[in-house]
Amino acid sequence: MNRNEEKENGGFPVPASAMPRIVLFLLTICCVCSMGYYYLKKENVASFTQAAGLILIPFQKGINSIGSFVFDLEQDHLEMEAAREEIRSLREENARLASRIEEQDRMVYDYREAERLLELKDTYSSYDTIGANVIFKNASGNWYSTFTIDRGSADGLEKNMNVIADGGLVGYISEAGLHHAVVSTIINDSINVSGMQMSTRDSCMVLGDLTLMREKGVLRLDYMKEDFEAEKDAVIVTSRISDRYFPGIKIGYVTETWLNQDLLTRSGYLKPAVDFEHIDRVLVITEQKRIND
Amino acid sequence: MKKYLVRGGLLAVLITAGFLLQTNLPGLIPLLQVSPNLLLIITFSVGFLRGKIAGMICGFICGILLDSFGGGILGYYTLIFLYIGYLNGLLARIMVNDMILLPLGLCLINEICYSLYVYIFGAFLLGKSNFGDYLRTIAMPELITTLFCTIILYGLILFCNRKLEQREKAAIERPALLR
Repeated sequence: MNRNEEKENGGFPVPASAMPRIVLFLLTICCVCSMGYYYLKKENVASFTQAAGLILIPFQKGINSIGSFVFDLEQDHLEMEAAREEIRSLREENARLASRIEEQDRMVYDYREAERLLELKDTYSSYDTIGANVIFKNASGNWYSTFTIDRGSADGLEKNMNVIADGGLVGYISEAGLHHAVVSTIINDSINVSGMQMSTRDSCMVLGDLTLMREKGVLRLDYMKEDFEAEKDAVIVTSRISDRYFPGIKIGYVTETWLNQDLLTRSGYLKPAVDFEHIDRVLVITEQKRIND
Repeated sequence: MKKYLVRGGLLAVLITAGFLLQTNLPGLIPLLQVSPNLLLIITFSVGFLRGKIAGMICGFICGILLDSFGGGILGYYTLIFLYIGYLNGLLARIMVNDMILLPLGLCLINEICYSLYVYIFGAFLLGKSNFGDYLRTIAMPELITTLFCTIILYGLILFCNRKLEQREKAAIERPALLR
């Protein structure tokens, strides 16, 4: 290549037409390396979350106010219909609940007893929590279930802290920026939570399943013993053996179980306690579970 | 210099609006279970209308945004959006860009590539193989909502592009003294 051409290309020893290809190639290598690094080390090589957050969060505040306005309008419209439906369902529920009170008393007694035995006096209600609003939903695309909240490390949030809402487990913080944090929910495919039946303390595993959640609104329950005692609506809470979640946080209710073909284990479905589609406010437990503490 | 400022500013506004809308639509429209992939539409439209360099820049920013706020792997979305921007840039101006079927066709092809990429690369992490379920519950609804949004968004970007081209053409024709 002669000197003139080099000058035209701003001193680069390649023709200008090849520049996009070279940039593409370099960026591809960067992306692949970054992904490879994550695959090996399970953490990101660098984070652009801070910078991106500083730019976007202010805009989001505006959107939130519009959002709540639209939401209020829609609520008014739906209220009448919902009220009628609710009266009907409440009557049914009332009848059902009355028959269960007696049984619940026994279960409460059992629970207290078990609690005493396991020294599980402090359930999650005694942990310090901080409230946060959901700002971005599904920022990771429809193939994953995450959302962003408006509190970050400046408010004392850290990676792996537990997130709850409506008294149920939502997930954990997978990334914390200065004024926002990303929450991965338990319905994600890769996330498993070890749980137990609240009254009998039989252990089980709650497996995240995004497709099942979208279709039927349930998660999979697995690795239960064949004598797992779970009538419908039995409560499943997080167990002590989990390395990430505090014990005693409600995960959801059993909807059905069945004996597997090997006749040794049971599987089933669990309806989460949290309505994942309409989360707009969550609580973050500002303590971290330490193993062997 | 001013030319690049206007282009960059327009792109920044477009991407910011697209991202905010995409991450808020499920909250605003209650029946919407999946959010339309607006950033994908922006990336392939910009690539197709403005060429591969603009497509790459746009794809890179969109990908980085999704990776930063998704809390996932850095580079996962950046890679696919980068290529969507670049490859659509290669197609730029091959065809007349006025037809309505063209953006829809582009959207269809891009969305299929995107879904396949997300599924195949994600499968290592998801540890699942039931592609049918994903197709039924995630990929198809996303495709339909995205196709629907393409009609509006592509039209908007096309309009912006025309205005921009007119402006830049006028700026060149104007004598240097009056500028």
